Amino acid sequence: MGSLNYHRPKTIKETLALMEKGVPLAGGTALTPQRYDVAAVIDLQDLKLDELKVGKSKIRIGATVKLQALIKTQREIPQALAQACRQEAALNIRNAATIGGAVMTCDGRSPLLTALLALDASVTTEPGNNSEPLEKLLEKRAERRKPRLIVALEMMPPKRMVYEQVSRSPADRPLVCLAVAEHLISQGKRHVVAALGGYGERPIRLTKLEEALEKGASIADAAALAEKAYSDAGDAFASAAYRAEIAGVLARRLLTEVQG
Amino acid sequence: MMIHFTLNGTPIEIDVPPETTLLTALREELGIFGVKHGCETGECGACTVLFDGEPVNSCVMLAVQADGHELVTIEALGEHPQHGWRESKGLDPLQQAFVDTGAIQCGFCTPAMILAARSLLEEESNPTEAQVREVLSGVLCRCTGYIKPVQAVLRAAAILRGESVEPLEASLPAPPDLFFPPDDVEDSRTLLGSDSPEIATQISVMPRIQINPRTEAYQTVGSPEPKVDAIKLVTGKPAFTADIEMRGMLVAKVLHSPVAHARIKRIDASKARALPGVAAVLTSEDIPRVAYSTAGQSDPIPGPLDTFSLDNKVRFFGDRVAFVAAETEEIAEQALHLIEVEYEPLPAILDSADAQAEGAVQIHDEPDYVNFADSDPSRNLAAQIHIDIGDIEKGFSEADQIFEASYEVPKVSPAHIEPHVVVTYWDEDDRLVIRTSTQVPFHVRRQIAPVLNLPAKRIRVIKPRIGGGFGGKQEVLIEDVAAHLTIATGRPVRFEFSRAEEFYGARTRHPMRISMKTGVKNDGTITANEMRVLSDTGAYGCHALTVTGNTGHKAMALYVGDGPYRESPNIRFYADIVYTNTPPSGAYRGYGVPQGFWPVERHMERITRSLNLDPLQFRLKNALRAGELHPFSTSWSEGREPRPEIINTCGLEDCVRQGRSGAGWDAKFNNPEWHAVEGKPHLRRGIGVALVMQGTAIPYLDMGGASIKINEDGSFNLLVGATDLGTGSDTVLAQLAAEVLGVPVEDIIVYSSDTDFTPFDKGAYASSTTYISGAAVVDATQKVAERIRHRAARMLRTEKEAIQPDEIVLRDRCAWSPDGRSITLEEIALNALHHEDQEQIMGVGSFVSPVAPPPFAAQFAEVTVDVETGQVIVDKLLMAVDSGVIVNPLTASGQVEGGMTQALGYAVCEEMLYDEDGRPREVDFRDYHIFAAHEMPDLETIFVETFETSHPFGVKAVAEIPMNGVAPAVANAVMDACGADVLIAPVTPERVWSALKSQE
Repeated sequence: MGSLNYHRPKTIKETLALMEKGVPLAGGTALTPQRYDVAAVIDLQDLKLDELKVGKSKIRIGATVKLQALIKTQREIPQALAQACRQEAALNIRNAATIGGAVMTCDGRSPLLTALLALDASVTTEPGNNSEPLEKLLEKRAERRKPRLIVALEMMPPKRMVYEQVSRSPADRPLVCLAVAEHLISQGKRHVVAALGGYGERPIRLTKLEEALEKGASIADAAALAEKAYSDAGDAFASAAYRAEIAGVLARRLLTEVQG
Repeated sequence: MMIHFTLNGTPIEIDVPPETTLLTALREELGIFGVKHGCETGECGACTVLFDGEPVNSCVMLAVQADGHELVTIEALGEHPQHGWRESKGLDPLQQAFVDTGAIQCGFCTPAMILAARSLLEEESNPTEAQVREVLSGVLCRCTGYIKPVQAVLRAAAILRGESVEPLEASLPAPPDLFFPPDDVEDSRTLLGSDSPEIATQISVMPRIQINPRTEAYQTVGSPEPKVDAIKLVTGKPAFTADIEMRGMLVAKVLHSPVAHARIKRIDASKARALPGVAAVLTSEDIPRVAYSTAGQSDPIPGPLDTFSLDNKVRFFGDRVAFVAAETEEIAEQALHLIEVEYEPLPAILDSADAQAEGAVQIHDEPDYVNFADSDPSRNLAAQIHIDIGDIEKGFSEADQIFEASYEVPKVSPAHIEPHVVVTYWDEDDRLVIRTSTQVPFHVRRQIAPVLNLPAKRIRVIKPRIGGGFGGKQEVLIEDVAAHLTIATGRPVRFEFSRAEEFYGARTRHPMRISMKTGVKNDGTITANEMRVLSDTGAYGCHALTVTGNTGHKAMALYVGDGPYRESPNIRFYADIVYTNTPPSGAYRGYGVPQGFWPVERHMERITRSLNLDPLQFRLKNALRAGELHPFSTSWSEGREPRPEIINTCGLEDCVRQGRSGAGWDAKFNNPEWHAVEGKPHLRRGIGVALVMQGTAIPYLDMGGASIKINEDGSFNLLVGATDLGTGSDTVLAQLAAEVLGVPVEDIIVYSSDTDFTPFDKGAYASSTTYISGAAVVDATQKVAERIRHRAARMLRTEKEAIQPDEIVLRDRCAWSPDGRSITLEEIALNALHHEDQEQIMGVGSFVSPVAPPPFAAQFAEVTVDVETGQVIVDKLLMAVDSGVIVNPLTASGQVEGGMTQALGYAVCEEMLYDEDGRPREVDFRDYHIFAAHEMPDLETIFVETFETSHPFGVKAVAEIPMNGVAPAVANAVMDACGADVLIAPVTPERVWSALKSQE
């Protein structure tokens, strides 16, 4: 525990130079309670990373876009993304917390991360203006050796997207949640992406379910794969048996809804 | 680091260390006390500020982040309307609406709610209820149930739009009979729109009341008076314990045990003591070893003395190891890390079922343990209760059927938004002043004196405004920490729990395992009823006997049986209250009774369904009635001598009648069409009920005191020892005094409470304040009224005619003679204090009751169950309650709404669990979920007034009974919806799912 250093850089370059010394500070909702564990914070508020662009073929969300700003544009972004955003935290937190911060700190019970995974979001980082799938970033989030700065998330607007969760009360964190997005790809072909949350360090992408659907699997068979994905997902909040079965139930419901 | 921002329109420049949160900077650097500390992780929202116009939580934002921004706090809004010669801008319309609608209870979250609402109204002048609920969702309120804050915002919005709003009094319905037919239910809570052309916006905050005719002559009692403390709370004045600045004040921290059970082999605080900025570090070796109980109760404490300020043994994860006082919080935290402790681990008992197993480790093996009654530390037994009423075995033998089942209720947290907080200092007479957020200031003084080795007369306890307590502050929990450190350093010390400490270091509701066995005849007559309880008191036995005793005393008293069994009921209540290595249980609103009504009302539901009986008729057939003996009154009285008590009033039948109508029971129960949700076969609706009772104070024990004196302007100072913890009791007590004196409530200046100045009162617990302290106020005030009448009679007499004092009527701030002449109370006061035969007109009163008149209620719940996932959505809660005469319908209905909301958490989501090492699963409001404004079901309150003759104004309790029936009513509704028979509370999705599986 020692004195904290605070930096508020004006440029990405300046920020990257500071990254070895400290950690990025966006809204601060997750980092402030941990402030005694870091030597320095780099406040991103002057970097102008809060631009939200919604195009026909791409949604680009700047890293410091507030969660509430996403909800305010809910007519332009997928409703299910706004719904997941609203489930993520109460209003006061959403007014400060950013999407970049959520990517770096939210756990497996995060509705927002679950929705972003279903949107097949990619994360743009500096230096190098690199883009990588959110799923990959989440996998190695804790072990990143070389500090990188998230500058934006990008995703294709889906043709349709749905989200559902099961929780102890309507606004409680999910015990199980599922997001399913249907994307139109070339020549009218459709591709379904599904992500499952409610457990562990991060939500998971249901790749096997997606592949099975590509190969023409029935909804029931696909739902069974969702169930299997949570077959070991037991903790103090819910048993693995429960989570697994509910994953299957939600998968059946949402796939039916999406595939209509 | 120097930062600049605009605060409430004024440019500010301050120098803060970068690690300082915005909350700390505002409170400690700038004295902005309207911003409150409720947690450190941004979940509670008490620290809300408007940051560039948007509500954010200042506890999770660094002050340096605010550099260059605009901040608004509650201090920017309105002010008290009377500021002498300076014209006041008055209250902001939002603040006024919060005052008018009764939206303020403890007031701790009120500034945050108003700021959040302001941000909405600046964007949307005509918000929907959903929008209001959404904007309030970031501010957790444990008191109100959110109805009145939501209505306050809607009311303020209407006023700001220039519309007229309905006066509050106008919505008070009066007919004593059924006041609305079942098919009128949908229109009963209209929020917007009105049939009246003059009123554009109708705001509904008043409960429905079946008024008792005896109250019709009352002027002030029964009126929705604004709270006497509303303006200071709505303007964010420094009213709470932590809202004080003192030169040289140190910050205290406690080192908590990282293990569930261990002896402290070695402790070395030398490095911590050497840290610059550390003023004191105390271990068990530094302070006196005095066995005491932290339970704030009357003398003698009805429980074991098994607690020490610091001990050489730790008994739960979070137990105390050492105290630190330092110049800053950061230094104190740093010092905690420098204390070296070597623990000798001991086996830990984490499950109450293991506490009495052969060979179980003895949690309390200290030789200075002081027993009470049947406590036996060698068997990990904190208390034991054996009550047999009638002949239980004979009753079982006469039954046609015996029903047996086992139930469980969880450990839950009171979760008041203001944490436990205390400030201690030596005053100029070297008396120790303890400024503390407590429900029991007089018990604090009495119980802490020996712990500190100070005579009680050398201690003064001041209770400022309390930010919620719910029983959690009926505990002498942290006062000793600050007091020891003030004694050690000679300096003022502030100690405040973090939210995590609230979860692992404060008190909780006792978790219990309960077995029921009930004998019933085929016609539905209960012949015998037995409850056996295993209650977990955690590591210490505070409230162990009395909480669990009330589980039986109240919950098992309701169903006595019918016919000859009503004359002589057969009831058995046995309980073992055992120690475990978990955080101590204690007092929490309901005080053991919600634990009892979960099994009783679940059991009754199962019986009624098994015998195919009408649930309401079956319950009423067997329920206690007016004129009958309280069955437990001759057997048990909180560890003291029991004496017989007759039930004077019981409005239960009317509660069922009104509740049945209000809930639309007849149209829903047994109606297959209503149970189905169109187009969603996986959803099923259900309706459930629970009948409940509580007590009002502890007979022959609980004493309240009050004093009142007249001032020169005809106003009165009312001093009460009672502690308003947000319930509105200061207001209600003022109303009682005002009714006796014939003055408006604004003429009663209430002060509560200070052990140096106010009369003794046992404190705020056992649902007793309006009844016990209220009767004391009436007693004191009647003495003042008598002196006023005497003097008035003399002043009004004429040469022709003498006037008797008892002919004088006090009304409208005047004393009236029978011939219609009057003099003002101001004239009487001036006469008494200055002019003639001078005297101080003053009264002191007290009250203790020979009975504990029970309030009764019917609680209804409607749910929608997802039968595939087990998820339960509670759609509506309705409570029809007989709490005697309702003194203030706004504060009373606020109690019911808030109580139902806490009980809703108990029903579906609140539960504290521990891992295999005794570490808590819940340390914040993220995992310990309490209901927020945007997820609430519809709430409805109906008061069925009876006139309790043991009280001068006919009142009974209202504060705790709302906790009792919601959980079983919800579970019964789930059973009605889909057959899922959940025996363990809360009714989580997985438990419903498991219950449904077990049916397959």
